[in-house]
Amino acid sequence: MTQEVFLNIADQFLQSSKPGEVITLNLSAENSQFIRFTKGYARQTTHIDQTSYFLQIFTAGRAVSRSLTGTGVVDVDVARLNSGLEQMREMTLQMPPTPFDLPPNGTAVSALNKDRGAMPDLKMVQDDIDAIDLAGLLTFGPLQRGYANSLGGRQWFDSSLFVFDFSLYFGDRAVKQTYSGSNWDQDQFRAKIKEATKQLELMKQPKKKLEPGSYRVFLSSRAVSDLVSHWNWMGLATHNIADKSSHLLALANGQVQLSPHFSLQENYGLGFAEAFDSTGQPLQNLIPLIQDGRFVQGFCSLRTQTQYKEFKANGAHESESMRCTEIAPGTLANDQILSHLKTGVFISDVHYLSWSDPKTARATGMTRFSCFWVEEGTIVAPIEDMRFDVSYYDLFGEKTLLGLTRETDSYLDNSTYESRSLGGIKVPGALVDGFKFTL
Amino acid sequence: MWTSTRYVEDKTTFISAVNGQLRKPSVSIDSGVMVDVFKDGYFAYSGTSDIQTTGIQLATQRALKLIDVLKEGKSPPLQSNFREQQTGNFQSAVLKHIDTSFIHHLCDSAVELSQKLMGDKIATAESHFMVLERTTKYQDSNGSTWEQKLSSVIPALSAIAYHEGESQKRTLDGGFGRCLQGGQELAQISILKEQCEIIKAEAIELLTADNCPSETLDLLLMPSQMNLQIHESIGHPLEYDRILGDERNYAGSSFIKLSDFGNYQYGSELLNIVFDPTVESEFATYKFDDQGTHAKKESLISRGILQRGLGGLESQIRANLPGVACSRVSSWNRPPIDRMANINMVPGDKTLPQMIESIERGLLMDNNRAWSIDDYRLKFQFGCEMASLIVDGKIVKKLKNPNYRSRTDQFWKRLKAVGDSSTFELFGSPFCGKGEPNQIIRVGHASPACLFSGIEVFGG
Repeated sequence: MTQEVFLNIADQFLQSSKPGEVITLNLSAENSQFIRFTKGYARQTTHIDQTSYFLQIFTAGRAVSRSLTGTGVVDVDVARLNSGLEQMREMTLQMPPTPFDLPPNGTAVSALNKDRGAMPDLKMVQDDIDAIDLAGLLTFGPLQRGYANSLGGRQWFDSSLFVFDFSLYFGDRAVKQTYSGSNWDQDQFRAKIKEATKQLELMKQPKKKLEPGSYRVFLSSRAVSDLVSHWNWMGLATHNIADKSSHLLALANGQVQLSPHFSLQENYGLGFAEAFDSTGQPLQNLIPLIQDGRFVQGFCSLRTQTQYKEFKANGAHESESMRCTEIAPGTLANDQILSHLKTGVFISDVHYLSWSDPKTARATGMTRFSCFWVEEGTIVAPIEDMRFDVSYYDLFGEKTLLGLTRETDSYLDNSTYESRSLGGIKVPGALVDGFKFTL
Repeated sequence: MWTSTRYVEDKTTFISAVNGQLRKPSVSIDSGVMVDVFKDGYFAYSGTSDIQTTGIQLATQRALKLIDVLKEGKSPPLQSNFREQQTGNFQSAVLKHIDTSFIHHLCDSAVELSQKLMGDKIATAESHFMVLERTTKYQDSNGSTWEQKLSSVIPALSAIAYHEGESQKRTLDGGFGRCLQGGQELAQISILKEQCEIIKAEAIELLTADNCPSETLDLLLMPSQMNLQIHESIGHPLEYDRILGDERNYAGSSFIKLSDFGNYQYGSELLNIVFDPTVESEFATYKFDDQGTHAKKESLISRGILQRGLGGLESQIRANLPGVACSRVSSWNRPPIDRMANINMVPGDKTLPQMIESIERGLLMDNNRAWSIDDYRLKFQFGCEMASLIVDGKIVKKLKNPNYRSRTDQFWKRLKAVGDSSTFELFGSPFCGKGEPNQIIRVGHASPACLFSGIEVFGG
């Protein structure tokens, strides 16, 4: 959908607002192609043209939201939206108040139409993966996000992105790689394939079976990204801190500190996602969350501020989750990481994280893909996958976090549940002591 | 050329109250059409939320273009589209249909239940209702035309008790586990009110309970935890698309090989598992899967021996094995893939008191709160909200933060008693994630209570 069409739909629809009401309209649209690869060939190809609206009405101390799919055709969609709004109005007359859901008061106007770079196609990928056992998903195409409210707020975001999330195989041995961005470069893609193929050669050696116990490990930036992103699940959201369900409560309460080398912040300047939500308030560009190991603040939305008076909204997205997030880099050089590790485990990827003890911020998960046993700075063998069970307070603690890499990598959110997600994280790798394998 | 259109409309209503106050209710109506096209040995899929004639025509043209690209690539062509011709209708068994006044009633009930959960040391009291209504209309160029209407009302309750830095959460059946098909009759408010008292009392009790010990002992799992145990360590490993390699990059593969079907000893002789999408009121009951295959009950594991896997028509051809009607979609905008439906454990002959009396030293666990398993579905670690210590055949005390870990290929062989029909309960989940692009679907799991020997447990 174009910005012009969205504004046309929004203007016509929001004319129907009545005195005493505030109405908001969010758009999420995509024109996407998904190519799913198995054993190096396209297993399923799918094209999706999807237009979804999210409406809210605030009236007489009551709020209701409604999502519905659209066509992108102005008259058809305006009629659908008006029909949905009528049903929402009826519901507000029949329900108790919703005191935590205050009407938005934002009237910000903004538009960001990112340049549309080159997108891939099946042939461009298949030419470079001939005879490789590759599995994964190539996703590409334009995405739009729009916002309008009956107070005059109008915001727009348009971007065209690709994400190729794939893994190469030798039997049950695998190497994971991701190539993503907004301008496909065949040479960069070839370099990614070459790098993964080279790493796969290392995986062909006999596997080393580790015994449960504590190990010195290097966590790749991808592993760090997955571990820190786990904090989106009952971690850094202020509503979780307030209702005592956060598993980082001891950190948030100041009872625990992380390493002074660890700093985490939200930074919309990274441009991974639109800097607005359904409240109409502009999102804060920089939100320091953990600074030099000390908890500064969680993500706090206006809604949480309304419900829990002791917390103040800080311009975070209403989901109170990471969307454009970065961890400050350290001083370790990537090309010397094996010599810093000395003897231990190089962990490229982690899998299926789950909290195992809320009080101590302990989480369990598995190693996955290309993880190696390293001796005296030299890769010796791939390892059999191990289960770990570690506290984040130990993982990034003062005594156990030995250092972070000076290079960082960015990972776009490649989630495609219901629709393609926007967002991303920029992180370094981490050298850690005392990492506990349990099974 | 063969084509089909699959129209899916999902209406999802979510009602919540927190600490006695209603949160903004939400209604989502997600509808669209997926066009499946088979031509020259290739399938392609094109979905659109524009369900006008022009939108569907454009989607069909896009699918044909995708096939042109596939023909130039190296994807192996299929011999035929394998789809069966089907006609008919199916509807969830409903005593009282969902309507607008029922939704309004749920708003009031949510507030009332949340208030009921509040109290001293209760930091957060939440009540939720998820109301799901799905309509699927399918037509294809073979003459198939069928329609299904499925509906569910899922209640969820939780209380977080907090005192001096200790936080403990207790829920109704582990969150959104009480998943059944039906109508208004599933919102049994008077029963839920009784549950509020139990949930609140147990959350507070857990604040001062001892931690689960670290040792190896007998483990008695109640159906609310068997729900997750069956799902993760039987359902997923038996999916053909995982075994064939389609899921390796995302959800993972399986320790099961195609050659294991018919001979692999999955568990003890007490282990009997069925795929059964015909159980009235169970959460993933249907007449047709999303490719139009007629759904029927099949044995997956019989007396501990692996019999059959979870694969739809296309996977059955690729695997050269019989499968089940399980090609399913999360919504209109995703192509069908191999999924679970109702994966159930057949009851045995032991009452719950008999199983407890047989335990010298063990733990009873219920209500899942943590789950993690490797990408081959072998090494797992699961946690529950609460455990009861059993010593010399008697329940002695409650324990907090219980976890257990094992390997799938060892765990089910340690199954030493299976509860009878008096212990059998129907559960499920609305949130099973898998696939690239990602898909979430609804699964049902019915199970009796089960007793396992020699399992490693530990606490917080």
